[in-house]
Amino acid sequence: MVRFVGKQCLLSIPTILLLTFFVFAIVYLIPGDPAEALLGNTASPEAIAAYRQKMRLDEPLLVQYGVWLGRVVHGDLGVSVRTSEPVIDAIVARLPVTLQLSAVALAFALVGGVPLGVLAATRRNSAWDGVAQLVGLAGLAMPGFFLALLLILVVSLKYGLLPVSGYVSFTENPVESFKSLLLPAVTLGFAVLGAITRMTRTAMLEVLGDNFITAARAKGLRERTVLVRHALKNALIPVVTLTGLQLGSLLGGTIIIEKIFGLPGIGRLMIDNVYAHDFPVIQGVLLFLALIRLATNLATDVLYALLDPQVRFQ
Amino acid sequence: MIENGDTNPRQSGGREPRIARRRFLGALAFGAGSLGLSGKVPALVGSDAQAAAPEQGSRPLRLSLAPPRQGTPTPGGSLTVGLGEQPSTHNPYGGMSNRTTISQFLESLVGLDITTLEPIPLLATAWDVPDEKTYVFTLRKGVLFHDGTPFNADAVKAAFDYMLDPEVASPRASDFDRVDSVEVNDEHTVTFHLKEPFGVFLSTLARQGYFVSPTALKTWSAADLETKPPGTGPFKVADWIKDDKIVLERFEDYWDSERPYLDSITYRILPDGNVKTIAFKAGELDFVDNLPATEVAAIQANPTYTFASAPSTGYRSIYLNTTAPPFDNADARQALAHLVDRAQLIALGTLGFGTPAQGPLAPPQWAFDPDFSPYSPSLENAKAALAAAGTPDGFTFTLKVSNSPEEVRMMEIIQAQLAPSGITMSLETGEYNAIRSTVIDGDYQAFFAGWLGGPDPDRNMFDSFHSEGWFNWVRYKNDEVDALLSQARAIRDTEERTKLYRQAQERVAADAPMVFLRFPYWAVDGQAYTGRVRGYIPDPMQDMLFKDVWVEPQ
Amino acid sequence: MVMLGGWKRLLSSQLAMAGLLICVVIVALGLAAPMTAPYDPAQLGAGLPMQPPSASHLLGTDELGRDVFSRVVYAARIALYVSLASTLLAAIVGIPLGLVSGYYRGWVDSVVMRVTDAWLAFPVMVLALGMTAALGPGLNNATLAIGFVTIPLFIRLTRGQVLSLSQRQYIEAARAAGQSNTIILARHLLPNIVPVLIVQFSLAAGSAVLVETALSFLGVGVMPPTPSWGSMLSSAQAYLLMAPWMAIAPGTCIFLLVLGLNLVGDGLRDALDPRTAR
Repeated sequence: MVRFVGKQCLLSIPTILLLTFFVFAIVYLIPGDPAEALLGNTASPEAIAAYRQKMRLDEPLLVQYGVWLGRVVHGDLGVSVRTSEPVIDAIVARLPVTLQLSAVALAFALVGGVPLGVLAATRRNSAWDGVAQLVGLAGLAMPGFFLALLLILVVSLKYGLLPVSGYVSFTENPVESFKSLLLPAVTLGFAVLGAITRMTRTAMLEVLGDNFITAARAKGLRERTVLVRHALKNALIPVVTLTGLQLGSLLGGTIIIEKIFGLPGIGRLMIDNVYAHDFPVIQGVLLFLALIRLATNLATDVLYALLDPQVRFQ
Repeated sequence: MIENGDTNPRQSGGREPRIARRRFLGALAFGAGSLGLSGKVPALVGSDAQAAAPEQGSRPLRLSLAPPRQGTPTPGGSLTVGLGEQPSTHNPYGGMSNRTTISQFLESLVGLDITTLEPIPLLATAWDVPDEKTYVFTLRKGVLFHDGTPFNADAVKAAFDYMLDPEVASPRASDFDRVDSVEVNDEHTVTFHLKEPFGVFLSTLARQGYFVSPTALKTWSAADLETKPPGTGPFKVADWIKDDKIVLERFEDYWDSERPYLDSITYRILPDGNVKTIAFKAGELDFVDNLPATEVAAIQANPTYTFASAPSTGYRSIYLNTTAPPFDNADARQALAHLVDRAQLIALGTLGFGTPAQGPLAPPQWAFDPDFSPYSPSLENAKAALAAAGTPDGFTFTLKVSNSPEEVRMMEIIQAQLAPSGITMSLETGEYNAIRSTVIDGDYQAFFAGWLGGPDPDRNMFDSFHSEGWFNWVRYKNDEVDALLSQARAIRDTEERTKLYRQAQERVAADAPMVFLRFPYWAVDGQAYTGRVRGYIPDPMQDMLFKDVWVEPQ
Repeated sequence: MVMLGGWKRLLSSQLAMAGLLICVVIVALGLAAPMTAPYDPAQLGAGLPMQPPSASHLLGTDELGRDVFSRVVYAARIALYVSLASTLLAAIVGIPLGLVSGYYRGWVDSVVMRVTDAWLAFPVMVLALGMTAALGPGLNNATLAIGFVTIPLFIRLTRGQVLSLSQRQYIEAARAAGQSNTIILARHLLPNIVPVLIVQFSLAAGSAVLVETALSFLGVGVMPPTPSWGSMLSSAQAYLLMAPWMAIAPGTCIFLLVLGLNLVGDGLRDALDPRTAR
């Protein structure tokens, strides 16, 4: 197991290097001087010259990248042009909101999606199956920002059930915190809910057709036991994988959701600074989210290997 | 977004040496204009929505400063305010961008009377001006800073020494660089010695001369001074979560033992105007500022809200970069001025809120000329101008505008108005400050912004159209205009000055370095608050002071 | 052969046909916009502002009195253009890379795969937003950004297909017969993976619609006066209670087009691979 994890980690080193290069190179897409883009155009010519020298911007691209990477490795993602706040601090400060939001969204997707998928698979062509297929399709096609507006319109503006904006931290007031996150989390988790429902249904159908289920049934085990102990346990393996892989799109979704619901998380940090052309922050968030995604993918692989012993021997 | 001209945009970036010049922003001249406004825009300040029944017929817009629905103040409770723009810093000696929060927890020697805008006692109870260059202040006794340090003559001297210290390099230094020295006479008396007569010294003190505890200035970290500088104000900063909220709480040892009434104020930072408005309507905010005109009708129709506004001394316009193509050509600029239909812009874009602007002089100002109207929508004239510019089939240009939905909407209207002539206007949007800094650098073709203006026409003319003006972002240079404006600020006779300003306005409008669009109402375009807010008196300087405010117990 | 049976299955799948119908209707409305739209989409005051749907304004009017139906129809063109152009761009770059990577293996493959891994590590929306931040807003930059984030999907898929096909006997036979690599790639491999690529194309186009409208919603994609469903939704946000049709019309359009493209994609996939058909 340790060797497996170690190997996966080693394999991701070149990926991380390339990924950081992407992030580094993005400022070269900006028309004009990258030093000015990174310092803001209120920076003095002297400051820009000093920065050029410090980051060795007059040398070949790879040298520049090396210098930049060296700083990033030491946790120095630069300083926000707009607020002079170190980028790493800004990210860390906003992380709890995004993590909570994502956690509630994921919980919503799992709690809703797995049972719905199981129901659909065990009662094919029933009303449940219809609902599951509908949810699966809607999850694919429903834009989060449209769903958000519909929910705000109905739940908050018409009936005033839940707040439309703002964030209450969990430590401050758990109930209010949950209420403030419910609408955004449902919106954010909806696409994942659809994907999980579809995947659970498909996987359950596949497993239910397998010989060992027939054998279990033949042994005279109760249907419930067969379903939960044997079928679901096996069907969940691909669902776990899918859930892990969906984390990335979940993080991407936070940009719009946090903007619409006025939540001070990573996504909001990203979009606010896109508007402000604050490239150190944009780079920082890009890098951070990509690394998180890579880490969750890696964790998913490991989890998958744990759940399905065959993988390890490959 | 609106420029208030409080800070030299260059200097807030800390880039260039500072020049001493600061004039008092001054008052919004209430009710001075003879605006023939239809009754659909009641625009009353501080009155309840019920009382603001549409006034029929055309009558001068009057601003009622009668206190709103009074009663006995009830201490306690809290207020939640929607804030569109997060302050860049709370340090009054830094480049403050948004005064809304600062004015709740920092105070100066003098305040400004809300109606006359004359200086009134605040931290100084009295002052004496023995000669033009000497001001002697008697300080209020028993005043404490939030950190427990007593406010006294030493604190005054310490603050000014700090502000004027070249090492500190405060952007505020230039506001007070006519101050030669501050002398401590005794515990509660302090004398300011000026280098030369400085007529607007008291007003400058009121607007820029905030005090932070000298202990904090010496011992606190820069980061703490940026977020929660201890002042003497009725509230103190409890918390500031960037991009989320700023929480102020009652200062128990405030020198006015009765005030403030509120226990706390929470400013929710909601840069997205849509989010802010939705949150207000959903009852999550008690108070919003910069309410777009498009929301005003709905807000006014709802008796639970109070709406506050007044005609502004400023204007909204499209800035044209006169040093870069295509607008280095006056004909191309005039073509735009001929095409814009201001009445339609106001009818659709701001639902009738505001009046058409043809020049920089605004209705409440004494120099305003109601008959001045050089441009009316004319495709023919625009075509002629385009032909003269050598681009008979039109041209394409990019306009920079903040990503506020209201401003983008206005520009969509302009796009449609320009289209028939063959002129294509593309938009580039972004956060206002980011765009603004590129505009200051001259890296733009066209730019949409507002100017807050002031009571004196000089405020609307010199900074923007004199070739040495700080806010001359259009890079306009006309020797005749320069001469007129310099002459006008040097004399005192109002009639004479009116003539000069009107002359200058004519030249400016003809050269069209800006396309003037609309005289707006106060802020963008007003403030609104819920019925539970009591005792609020709108401040013409738009500081949103909550010292006297209480909330109705729920 | 496979294809024929596939078409039959496709035609018999009701969902796929529904998806196809949705796509055809939206494409037809969009292509014929000058005829199908009753008003100029940018015309101010085509009606009174914020009128609910009526006979003269099928989907009502927006806050500037523009006809929502006309805007929705013209915005359909934009959505289709961006999604097709960006997906095409991704396919043109991604497929050859995938072919080469999967066919030649070795260090080329390693390099391409590592790059693809890094590329895919970025959440699509985040990378697209980062790109538009650097490139600036606008129709073409949005297309470019969306195309760029879609490339690795095509590389990975093509490579996987080539890897599995390379083991087949007819490829081995072609190699043994001394046919050149180029001919094997172009004549034997590519035609056999085209069906899978078509499926991928339709799914990627759906996702491109979502990203474009999201960017435009955020104000960094398609800029006014070009109408986009995303920016229409964004300006509708302020009038949710007063004029909900302003939000519902463009939102439903996005939903339908993405749904249609996905249904077609799913249908095609099931049609091509009978094992997954359920």
